[in-house]
Amino acid sequence: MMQGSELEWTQGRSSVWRRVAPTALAIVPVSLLFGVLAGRSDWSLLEVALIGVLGFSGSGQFAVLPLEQSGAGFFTMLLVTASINSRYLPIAFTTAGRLPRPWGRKVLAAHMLGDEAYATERDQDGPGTVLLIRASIFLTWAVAGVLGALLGQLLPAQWVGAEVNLGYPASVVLMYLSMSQLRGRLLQVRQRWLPLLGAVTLCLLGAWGLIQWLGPVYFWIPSVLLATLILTWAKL
Amino acid sequence: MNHSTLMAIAALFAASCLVRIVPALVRVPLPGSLQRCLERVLPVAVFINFALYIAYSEISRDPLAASLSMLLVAGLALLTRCGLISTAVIGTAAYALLLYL
Repeated sequence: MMQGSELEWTQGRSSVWRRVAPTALAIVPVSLLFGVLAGRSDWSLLEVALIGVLGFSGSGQFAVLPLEQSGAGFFTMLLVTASINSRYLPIAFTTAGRLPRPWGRKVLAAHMLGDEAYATERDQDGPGTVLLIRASIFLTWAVAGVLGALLGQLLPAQWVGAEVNLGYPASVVLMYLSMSQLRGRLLQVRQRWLPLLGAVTLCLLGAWGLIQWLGPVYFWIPSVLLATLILTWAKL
Repeated sequence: MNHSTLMAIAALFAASCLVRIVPALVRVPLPGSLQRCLERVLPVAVFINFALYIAYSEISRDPLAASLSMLLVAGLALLTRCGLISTAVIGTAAYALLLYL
């Protein structure tokens, strides 16, 4: 007889893939671009595959490319990438309950956490669904990076223009998913919409101020804490 | 394999351990009110910041086109039943059109 998690894994797989496919497709151009740039910086296909699998961080990977080229040390790169990815601290903490119980799978699922997966997952998703969502996006990212490195060896240099914003569709998808998540969560308390609207506006103003003050890398933790305080005060 | 490339890969993996794996493994017993805050309030706080961060990243690159396109996408997601793919197409097309104009 099938266990609960196996049943969820088998029955829901196609519907989860339908849910995750648009998001996974949206990140392909960004990962392709990373692969092309890494390939042009003389990274081998194995190195591009390894950074996609072990590093798995869009902004982090783009950030280490010039650092590696300029000969930065391990701790400099660690500091920069950990700062860029510090937004995952609260995200990892709040989604830990959804992860599979076995230690190995838990570590794997935790490592495969990304912005797109977080925005795609739902509170009621079980461990199998979470693992499938994260693995689909993770593998798409890693494979597209290697394809990009291959493409980079084939395309003429002038075809890869820095002025084309290949990441925009991925940002649109992330914005849509974030807004859908917010709508779902805030609709639960719609009878108190006016104070809540005021609280959300305050959170946005505070976050904007903190971005201006601390920059888009270091604003995350103080801004999330401030928003949590405001929303708790507004009795969300 | 190049030594500096390996260092870059190791740094990113170490960063992943610090910000993604360790917080997911460490469970601290919390009082009920704090647990409720973590489950209900913190995700909303994260998504508000997440949406603003995405908008900010794009607006700082192309202010007018990204502002209008992101507002359109946020409006479609919040106020209509428009699906993900159609919204993504509309938002990206609006951005491209505004850049072209």
